[in-house]
Amino acid sequence: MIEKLSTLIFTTGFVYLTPGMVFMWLIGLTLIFLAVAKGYEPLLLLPIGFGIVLANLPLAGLMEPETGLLWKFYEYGIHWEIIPPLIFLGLGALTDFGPMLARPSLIFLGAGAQGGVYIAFFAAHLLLGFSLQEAATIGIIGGADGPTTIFLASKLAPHMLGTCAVAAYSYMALVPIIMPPIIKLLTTATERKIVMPKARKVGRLEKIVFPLVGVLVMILLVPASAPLMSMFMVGNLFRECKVVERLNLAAQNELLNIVTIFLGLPVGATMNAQNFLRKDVIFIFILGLFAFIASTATGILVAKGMNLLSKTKINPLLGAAGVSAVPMAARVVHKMGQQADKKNYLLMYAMGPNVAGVIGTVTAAGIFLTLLK
Amino acid sequence: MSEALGIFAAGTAGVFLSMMLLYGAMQISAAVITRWFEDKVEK
Repeated sequence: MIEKLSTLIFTTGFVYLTPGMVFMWLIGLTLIFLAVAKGYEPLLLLPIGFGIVLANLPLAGLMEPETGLLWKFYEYGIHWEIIPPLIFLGLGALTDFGPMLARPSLIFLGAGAQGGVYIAFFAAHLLLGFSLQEAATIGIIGGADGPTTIFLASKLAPHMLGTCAVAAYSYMALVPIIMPPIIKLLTTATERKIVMPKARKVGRLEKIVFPLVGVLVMILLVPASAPLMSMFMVGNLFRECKVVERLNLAAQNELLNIVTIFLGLPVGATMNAQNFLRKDVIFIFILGLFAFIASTATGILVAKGMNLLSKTKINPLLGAAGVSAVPMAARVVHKMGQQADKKNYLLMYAMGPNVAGVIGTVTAAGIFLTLLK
Repeated sequence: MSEALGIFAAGTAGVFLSMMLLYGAMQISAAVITRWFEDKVEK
């Protein structure tokens, strides 16, 4: 009887618990707390936090290759490039390119904000000795685009996927805290008061044509961006053509919600104690923050550069909206514009570089893939 | 270092070049639509 009892005890997970696993539970529970109590990116941080807890339960085998449930979600969802593109399908259906089409020159702010991605890439490789693939994965955090970060990490540095995803979503949630000091540092009160000229009205046909033109141009230029870009644009075509409303609503709601569940859990589950409790992880978080700050800064500097070359001045705050944390970055820009001048409504203008930033980040990821894979 | 610098330069230039071409494509499609297909698109 004692032998049987002993066998039973040794098949429980308690016996195999390590301090590292318990520490990872605390990290997972912290993310769940931040999602539930503070509302920080709850749609992603909650399942990621739960996934972290699950991945650190001994003997559960949820991330066991070939047999584990979460491993299957990871392998067939993320590694097979299915879930991030499906997220982009939903995002495309939610995106209004109208503000960008109304003032096309603002797309350069979306490009400018990718400068931080490459600066962080360079710093990660040169100063901290990360491999080129790892440095690219860290750099893309600066784009503030969670699915793109996950997509690139799964291709170039799968061992860093969980860490980079958590860093990206955490900083996206912290946009209202991180961005304003950088914006204030790089702009004057007079610049923040610049009122944007009234935007032109964009017709329906132009909105329908854009995803078709966009997909042709961007995929011909950077074929490696095709999985994300194609889904983004087809989702947007669903939205704008107005003849497939069921598909549009399904992409915006049911599909996006379902794939979000199957994205968050396995991403969290990649963060086991062995992978996560390394000194590199601290550097990844610091460099991710640096990438984010640098992207905000380069966006603003490009806006200021455009003002030097153009007669019509644009409010340099809009450059900060070039990071693709949609729509949070645009909202922060709008709020700061209103703090400078209550009559200054920048939200619709800021949405232009904001959605251009998504295209820019996908392009940057495609370029990394082309050059490094 | 030279490889990283190359990727840095090529990446930055590549993103801007992509956006320039997208900008051009947007301008051309807007002009074509305005001229031939949809008079309501205002300049």
